[in-house]
Amino acid sequence: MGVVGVSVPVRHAQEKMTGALPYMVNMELPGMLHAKLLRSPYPSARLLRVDASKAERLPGVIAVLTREDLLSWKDCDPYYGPMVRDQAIVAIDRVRYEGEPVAAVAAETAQIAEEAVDLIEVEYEELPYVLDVLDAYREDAPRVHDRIDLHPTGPEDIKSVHWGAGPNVCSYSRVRRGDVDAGFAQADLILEGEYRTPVQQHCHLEPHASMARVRDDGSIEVWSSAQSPSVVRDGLAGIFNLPLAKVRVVVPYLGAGYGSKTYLKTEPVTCALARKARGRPVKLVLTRDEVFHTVTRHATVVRMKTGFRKDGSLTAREATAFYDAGAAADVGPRTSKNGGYSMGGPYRLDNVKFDTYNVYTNKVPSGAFRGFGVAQVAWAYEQEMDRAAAALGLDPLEIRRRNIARDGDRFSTGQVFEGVAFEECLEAVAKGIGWDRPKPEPKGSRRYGRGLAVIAKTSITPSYAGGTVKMDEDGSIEVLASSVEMGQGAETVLSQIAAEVLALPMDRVKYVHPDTDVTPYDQGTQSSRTTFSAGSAIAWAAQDVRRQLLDLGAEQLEARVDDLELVDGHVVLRGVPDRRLSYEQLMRNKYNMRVGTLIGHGVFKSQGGLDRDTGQGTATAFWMQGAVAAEVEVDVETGHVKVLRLVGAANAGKAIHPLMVETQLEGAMGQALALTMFEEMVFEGGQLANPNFLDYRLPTLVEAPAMATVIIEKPHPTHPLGAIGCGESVIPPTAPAIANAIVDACGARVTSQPITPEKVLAAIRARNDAGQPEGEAASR
Amino acid sequence: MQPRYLVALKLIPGENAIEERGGGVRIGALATQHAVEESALLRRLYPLLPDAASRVGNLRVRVMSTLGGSLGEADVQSDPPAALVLYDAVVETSLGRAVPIRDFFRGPYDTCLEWEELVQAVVLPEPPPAGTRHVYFKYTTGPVTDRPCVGVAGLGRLDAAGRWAELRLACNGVSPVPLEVDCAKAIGEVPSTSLAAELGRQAAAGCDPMDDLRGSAGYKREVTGVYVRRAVQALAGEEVA
Repeated sequence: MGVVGVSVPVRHAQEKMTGALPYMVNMELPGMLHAKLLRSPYPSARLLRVDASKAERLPGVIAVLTREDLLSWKDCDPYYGPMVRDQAIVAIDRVRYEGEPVAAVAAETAQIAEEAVDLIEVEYEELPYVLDVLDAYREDAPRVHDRIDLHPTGPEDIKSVHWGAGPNVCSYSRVRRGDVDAGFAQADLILEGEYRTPVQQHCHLEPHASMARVRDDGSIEVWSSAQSPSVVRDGLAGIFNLPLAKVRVVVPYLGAGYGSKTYLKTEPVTCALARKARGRPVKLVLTRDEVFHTVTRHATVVRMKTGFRKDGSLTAREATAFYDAGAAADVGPRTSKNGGYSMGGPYRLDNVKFDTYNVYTNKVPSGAFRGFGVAQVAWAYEQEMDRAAAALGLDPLEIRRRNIARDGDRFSTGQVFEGVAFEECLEAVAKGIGWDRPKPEPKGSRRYGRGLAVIAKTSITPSYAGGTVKMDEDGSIEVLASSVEMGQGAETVLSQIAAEVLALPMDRVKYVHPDTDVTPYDQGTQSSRTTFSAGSAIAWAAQDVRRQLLDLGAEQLEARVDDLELVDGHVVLRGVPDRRLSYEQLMRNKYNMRVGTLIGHGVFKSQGGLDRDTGQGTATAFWMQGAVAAEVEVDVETGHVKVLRLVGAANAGKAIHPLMVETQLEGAMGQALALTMFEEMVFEGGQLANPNFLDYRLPTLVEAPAMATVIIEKPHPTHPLGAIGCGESVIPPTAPAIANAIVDACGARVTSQPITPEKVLAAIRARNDAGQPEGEAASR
Repeated sequence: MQPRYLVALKLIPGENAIEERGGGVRIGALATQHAVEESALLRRLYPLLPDAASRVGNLRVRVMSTLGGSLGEADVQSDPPAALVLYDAVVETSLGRAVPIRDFFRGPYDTCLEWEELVQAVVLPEPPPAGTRHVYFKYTTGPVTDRPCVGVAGLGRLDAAGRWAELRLACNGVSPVPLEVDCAKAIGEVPSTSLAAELGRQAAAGCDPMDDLRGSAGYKREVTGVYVRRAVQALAGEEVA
């Protein structure tokens, strides 16, 4: 049989299509109350007075939460954050961004809760604010936070991060490798460039939602649209000073996350309200406006200086990246660290000096976003490659071929690349787009061009995932993991892995969704780590059950374990198909009754970590490898760009479910296209001007280009099935591939996202005015 | 404004009809953009209007949004107004007034409607003669469903000698009220690229756009010129980018 590598029916796809699948936003419990939040209208202000007395008197209001509650609860620590304790459940002394929660209400209906929110009186004293990341990194900038209050048990991988190194600097990290001065001395061409990306949002269809109930013994039950259930449980236990056994986090299907639902988001305020709601469940569902005010993708400014020899080979790179943290760290110290050390890309580059600053501003906090800091730096380094190619008279594909890292070469952190297929990805997309074939001829004001990009992305390391497989008395199994099904296919893939190891058909496998009372610890459904980490844990858990079945079989079939195999739900004596017992029979024979449970457990734990001063060390347990080629049409009279085709390739190691890999790649390119061409959160006077889908413009299917995908399968050396994650692999290369294609079409290079028609037209004008083909500043 | 009540008008019977009246057509204010887009009567006699209505937002918006409602809102970045201007539409109000469309709009989100006065119908007078070509170019800087950066509507007819017998152009989105382009100089002329370009330059000079998320004023001015030129070329039967 074998179900791995087969595009079996996606679990619950039909229920999704009919709308029958229950999501967090649909969940209701008897006696449930509805929560609404009061949010700050100011980007920076001191709270002089918060008076909720009128709200409390409104009929139907059950609980109002203000800073007074948080200060009076001696057993509650109101500050939280996965790395820095810089967020409060509701604001205590001041607010640091427009939209920061100041108070919360739970009432019989959402309408009453909303009315009550309007009755809460708050007096603010406005304070100076700073919005731009470079402005914030100035000595005279207003300070967003007075100090960095580190989480005492923050994650392992951020031990290499420096804290508070400069004005408004939350975190700083660096990479030092080789000798950049010597490298630049060898260069025939030195390029300098600056690249920017704006604040952007994930735009998952389902908003953040959570529901909480506090029982008489103080224990908390939470249902949440959370990507990291185990971590949410730990965070809530910390806030409310409870043992983990008294906090239960249950996560149903998620209507997508893209990083936005990692770590604590709405859960602390829902739990705090529930604490005042006398046992009644409290449910909070954010509006779209509120989602925009919850977490964002870091805006960035990346400055890069790169040396090349005449043959196109890289000699050195010095780069500084500024990540706009917004008003809270969230996981930005990691996002910026990982983006920062990735500035060398998937290339042989021995002399690097990278400095990365994650800087507080008075905007919505930035956190995790699919592509995790790497998309912003790939936007820079992959445009640098094309600039160098133009300046040296090389083909963009050729300059990449000459530098691309292969197994045995080293990443900027010094880690040796293993099992990488960057080159195969690059060649696949070049072939797919027809790189060697002539591009379409100009037509009227339309010009056509093609571009390429290839990237390397790491996955959080070290990390942990536990997996459990439980076999029932009829030989069917439950697969227990704390990996969240959010449309990416965790449920199907983890079920396939267990089914494969235990030679079972898919209809005898059930996936048990995260429930921290039941499912084992997992660091989070993030960083494209599920197939790799939880997939390993589940494979080993299934192998544990397999061993138990073989032991039973050896005893009952009077054979050696080595001579037995699992075939189609039976333990079979190899070569003698008649000598076999079903899993059910094995258990029945053992107990002389139709009873029994077999439990297998598996643990995935990766090793790694970087040196604080040099950034050298093991950055990742596996590499995401992706390349994209784009073909565009540019109207040179308006600057309007139509992306005609995108070809994406990624190494999946082993595609457990090929169709879902393809659709992951298509989805990633579509999302990246949106970020590249359209998306930008605009702040005016400290206020977000476009927190809605009319003004925060997302593309439609009309703007979707023709897409093709190529799955590369170069197996990972340690994963039981050779599989690695690829959910992010083609996010980072899409933007620079499009930018490079626009240059190919009309010579206009746009270095800040989104690539609006206006920017393209301005770049066309600048090039015409300068009267030069590429218009790029090259020295030497 | 803190309204005490929000009143739905959708259930008022009859006011969503699109029907012939006199030599023209009366469109009830509650006719949806989608109904306008789909109306065989309008497609036959006034095809520019369904064309413009078909470009409003997306289908989900068009089945909810009414022509009368969108006129009352008077958002500058709207698709139907320029078409209504070119057809010399008259707005009938609930107070019995008949207001020519050119007098209806006063500026962004501002109309001649008095307090407690509603748009009741839009009346189109006799349709243009047979052989009149129409064009609506909606240019967006975002997705196709975005509000227009500029929308250029045009009606044009060539005489037997291939000269402009009629040419009318109006733009949405780039001035406080729909911007009409004076095409007098074209009448009697043979269509040419230079004439089209001149009308484009004239429109660019005459518009008064605002900076916003959809582009700077300068950019909008520029693309107005491009699209007015293209509209004239399209009306002359040329294939344009």
